[in-house]
Amino acid sequence: MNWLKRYLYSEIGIEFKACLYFGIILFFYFLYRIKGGSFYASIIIMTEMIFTTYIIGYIQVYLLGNFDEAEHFGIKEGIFSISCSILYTVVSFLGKWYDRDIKASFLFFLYVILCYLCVFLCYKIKRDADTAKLNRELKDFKNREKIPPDEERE
Amino acid sequence: MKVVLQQISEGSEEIRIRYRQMTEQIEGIVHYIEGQSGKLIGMKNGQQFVIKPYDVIYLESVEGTVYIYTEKEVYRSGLTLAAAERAYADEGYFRCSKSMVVNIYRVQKLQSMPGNRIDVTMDNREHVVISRRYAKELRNILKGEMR
Repeated sequence: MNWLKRYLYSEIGIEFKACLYFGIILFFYFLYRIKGGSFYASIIIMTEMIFTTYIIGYIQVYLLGNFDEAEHFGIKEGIFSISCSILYTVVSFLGKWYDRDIKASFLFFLYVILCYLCVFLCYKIKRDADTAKLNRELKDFKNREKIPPDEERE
Repeated sequence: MKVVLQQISEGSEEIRIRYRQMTEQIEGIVHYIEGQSGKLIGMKNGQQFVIKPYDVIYLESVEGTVYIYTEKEVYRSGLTLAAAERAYADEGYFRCSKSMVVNIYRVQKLQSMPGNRIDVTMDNREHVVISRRYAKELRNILKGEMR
């Protein structure tokens, strides 16, 4: 059952990240469309986007050694983030998400890198807050008066 | 409750408690026997040492044998981890993995880790990583919720 648990855990992680990055990319796409004076979005492009985020999620987990930008951001994670951002940009270019506009594609590339960094920072801030809370509770636990066993039974 | 005492001339001494349902009274007896009235017994170099529960930083099971770790010494114990956790829960003993029981009162600091895990720094500066499963229970204990 352990392998099933591990598999489901990875799948849920991929699912979550795919949704997160889909939202992020979609936001950039919407801004691009609005800037171009259009209030319409292509369903085909949006489908391509969600498939891309899923595939890159699988690449991160199964090809890049479960690379998780939310856990740690060092040199290795930096290189992987840039690689994934390049991949997103290449797909966006081939799929004409930004009409093969070089300037928009480059901005999109920078935007995806920034998003990877922001995801790490958000999780780090959340973990730091949790650490502070845990240590506060630990201090309270130590200061809490222990009830003698006899008194407790009464 | 009927008490039966039997003197034996050979074989190892044992205490067997037969019960229909675990009651507070029986738990108290078990607590007393296992805890030696609140103290732990550790073995080292063939000698027995009485250890105060607070002095224990953690207990670890290595290949079926439980070791007691204090600030400076390591003792062998006859207790099981489950029994230690049960007997000294009031002293802050917490089962943090299959093979370890830590004394929360001897935890220096806690650090939240990815995947809801917790990195625990003990008073002797050793680090123990608590998995998500056990971390949830630790969080409840720290909040003062009943085990």
